[in-house]
Amino acid sequence: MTDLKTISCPFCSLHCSDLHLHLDGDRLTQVTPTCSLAQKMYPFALDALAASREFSSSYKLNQAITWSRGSARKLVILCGNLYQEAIENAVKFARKQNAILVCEEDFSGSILSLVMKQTGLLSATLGEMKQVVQQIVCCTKSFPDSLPRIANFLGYQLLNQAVYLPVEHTLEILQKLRLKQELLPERLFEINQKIQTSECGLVLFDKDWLEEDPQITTELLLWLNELNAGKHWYGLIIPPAANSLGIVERLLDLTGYPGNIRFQSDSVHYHPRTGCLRRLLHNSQVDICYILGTPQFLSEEDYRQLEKFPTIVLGPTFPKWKSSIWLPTAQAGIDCTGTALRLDGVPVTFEPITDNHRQTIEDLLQVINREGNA
Amino acid sequence: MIVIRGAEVYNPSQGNNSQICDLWIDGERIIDPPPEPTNVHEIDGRGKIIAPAGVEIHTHVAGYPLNAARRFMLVEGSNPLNLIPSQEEAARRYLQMGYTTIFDAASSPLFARSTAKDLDHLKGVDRGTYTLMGDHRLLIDALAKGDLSKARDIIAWLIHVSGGYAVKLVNPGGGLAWKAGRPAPDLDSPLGLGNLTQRYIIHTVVKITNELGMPHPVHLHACKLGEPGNFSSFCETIKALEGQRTHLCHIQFFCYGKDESGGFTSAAEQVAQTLELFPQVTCDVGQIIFGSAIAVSADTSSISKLHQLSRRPWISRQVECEGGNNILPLQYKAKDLTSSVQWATGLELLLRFPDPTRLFLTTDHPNGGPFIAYPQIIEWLMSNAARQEILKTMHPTVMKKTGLAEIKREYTLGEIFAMTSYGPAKTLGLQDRGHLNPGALADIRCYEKQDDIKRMFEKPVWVMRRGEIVVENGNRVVEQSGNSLITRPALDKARIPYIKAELAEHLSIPVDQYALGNWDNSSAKEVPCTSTMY
Repeated sequence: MTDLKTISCPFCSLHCSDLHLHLDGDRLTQVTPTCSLAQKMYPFALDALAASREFSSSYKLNQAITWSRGSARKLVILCGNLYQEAIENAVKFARKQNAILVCEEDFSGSILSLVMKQTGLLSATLGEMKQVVQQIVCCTKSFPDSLPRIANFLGYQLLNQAVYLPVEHTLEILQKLRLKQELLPERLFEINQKIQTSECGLVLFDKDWLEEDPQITTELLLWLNELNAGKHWYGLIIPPAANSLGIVERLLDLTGYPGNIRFQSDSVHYHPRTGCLRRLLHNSQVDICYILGTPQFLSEEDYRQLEKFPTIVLGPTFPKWKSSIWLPTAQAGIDCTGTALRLDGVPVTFEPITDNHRQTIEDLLQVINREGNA
Repeated sequence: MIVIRGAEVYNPSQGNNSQICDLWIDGERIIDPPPEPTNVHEIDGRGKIIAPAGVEIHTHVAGYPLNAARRFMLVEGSNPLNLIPSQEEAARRYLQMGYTTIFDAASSPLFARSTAKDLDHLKGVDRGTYTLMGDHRLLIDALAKGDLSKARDIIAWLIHVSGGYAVKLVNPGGGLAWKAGRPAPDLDSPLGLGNLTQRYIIHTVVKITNELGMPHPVHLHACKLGEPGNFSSFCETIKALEGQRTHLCHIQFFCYGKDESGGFTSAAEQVAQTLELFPQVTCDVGQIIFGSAIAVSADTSSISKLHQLSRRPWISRQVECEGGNNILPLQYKAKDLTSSVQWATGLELLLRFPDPTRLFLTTDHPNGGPFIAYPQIIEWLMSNAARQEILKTMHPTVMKKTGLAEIKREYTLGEIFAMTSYGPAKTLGLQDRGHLNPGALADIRCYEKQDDIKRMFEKPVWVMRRGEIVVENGNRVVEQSGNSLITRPALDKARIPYIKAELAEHLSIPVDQYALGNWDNSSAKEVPCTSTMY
């Protein structure tokens, strides 16, 4: 007997709300319409749910509480698969523990915020883009890989007619476009022509650029600013990880900052440079680290640094590296409800697809907060 | 039971004078002096001023645009919370100033759930939001086709599904015009949808909203915000209402004349005279304060113009089926002639308009400046000497461009309480607050009587909500949760499936997830749609 469930998918920042899961008990038999990421991630999440039962134990929770009591310099890292309700509790937790709070996907919060402050930003919701956009410009290496169903939202034809900026020398290319250099190379000239003749457009920007070189992001936004100063209206999409935007927005709501926050008794301090994740890990400024959600962007070097001090992972899937303690938690859209923000900021609700309730991140944080304050 | 003994009590519903008397409270409400009181807790009110708690009718404290604004304020080591506080901080500061009811000025239906979450964090105050619909595709289409019954149901449905309190129109049709690359509309220019004009949208939606009996009438942001010479268009808008009950917001930004070189002058006198002709129309001022501010508005056509003039970066997001959200940092400087004229125009308007129960104090926070500046503005209103003092620091030409310097009027305390509590509560249709009559909610502020007006209003001695002192000497002593206030105007339920089906054609999310989706707002307090005022 196969169950059919129509769901909002938690696995990429599009959070499609029209996926149909065909389930035979806890086994996924089909996903329609086809999405390569959902095909891969749902079985993985359901397997993780089964595996997590072996790893749940009150002993580990008590151990986490004991370590928490004995540590002064605490770091909280917000990762993927976190939904709004968990984030609110993470902020309460960090506030009470006088911890430093950072986002794993740091660039979508702090760096982008700093760049936006200098340059501004035009954007639109996906439905609006579909209505008005005449030209798509891809400044990306792997956009369709990270968001397999983006064409559903923007239209296949539009995506097929997209122009691609060369991936080599991106900074120079953007500068040339912005400065309207007359002697553009032939290929760039054609691209520029297409952009100039379309009043409304959309730039898809690869988050890899953002991470690799903030200057490229600045240049891109400056170019868009110049373009939009005339008759054009070009919006920008930077695909973050699943609900990464939701993390940043909730942090801004609750604290005024998008990450890199140091809580001290009643006050909050923002340190985007010195308080960024890599510096904190590499300068050994931490006694204990709480990782909330599923890390997706930590490097091998980050993992090596994390092994130097106690690490408590609260997330739905088994950590990729040797963490000190893993406390399995429910995942919104699999075994608990939750809210996320799509990459255009539109709120999306997740409903559970199984009845196998695990403890939520907020449940566990509340216990550690209550019992484990130093 | 509580009695506040011997205080100087201002009850603005009974006029602007005070009376030394005792004020009795039983539970959450004010009562008549009981014949045989029992278990009485006495509060010494001698030398104190007692007034109903403040009611904020127009502020921006919730929703997506605030986070975009916060991004602009981010500087290492800075504190963006000064201008764009978090919701908890905003609630705390309002309570510290003696306000217990706060209305967020604009919420987009598509992002209603985010707004609702933010409103939930405004702890300790009653709060609500107005639902944006002046560029909503379904409503505009219905109006363009002249289908008023459908328009009425769309308005009611949008309020229901968004958890809204009232209808907000922001330069209606202006967002659509901007998206289509057309010039910003004025009152009578065609919007490109048959004969539809802004005049028709405003007049019709105001009429429908009043017929629905909504406690607060249409909350209208007119066209041509911030443009020199816009007063004539604004006065036309007032006349276009034909005397129907309406609230016009931050009207200082619409009261500009134009000098021979195209610069700003004050037209406060002309606007005040026009407003006096229409007693059903209420307004808030949107006073500016010198220093940093940030434009947070759904008026894309006006903010894009400002962006082009200022050459400052802006953040603009266009929303499917609706208008857009726009953010632009601003600086108001005393030495800058335009800023000075704007500042003087706001005060001139407040001082020229005789009825404080129809024109209310706001800064359109954070557009004109932070709401925490209210005590400073009150001082300017109550002291001609304070006004003259600050006028000396301004661009000298401001005296010629505005009429402020010649005005001698000084507000009385009673008038201040009328414009900050009774008036706004009345136009919001909240009959249970804004006054101290028996039956009213015991939401009260208490001040130490003193000569330093600004200091007095900055720090009430205590603030009471529902009969309980929640702030004492500036410190929050009791945490209450407060209520979300919503309305549920009547609609033809048979039409809902058709509205949903039509909306689904344009949305990128399932229509069941639209607006609040499955958000549980059952704990919200419904204010009945029983107004009979037109």
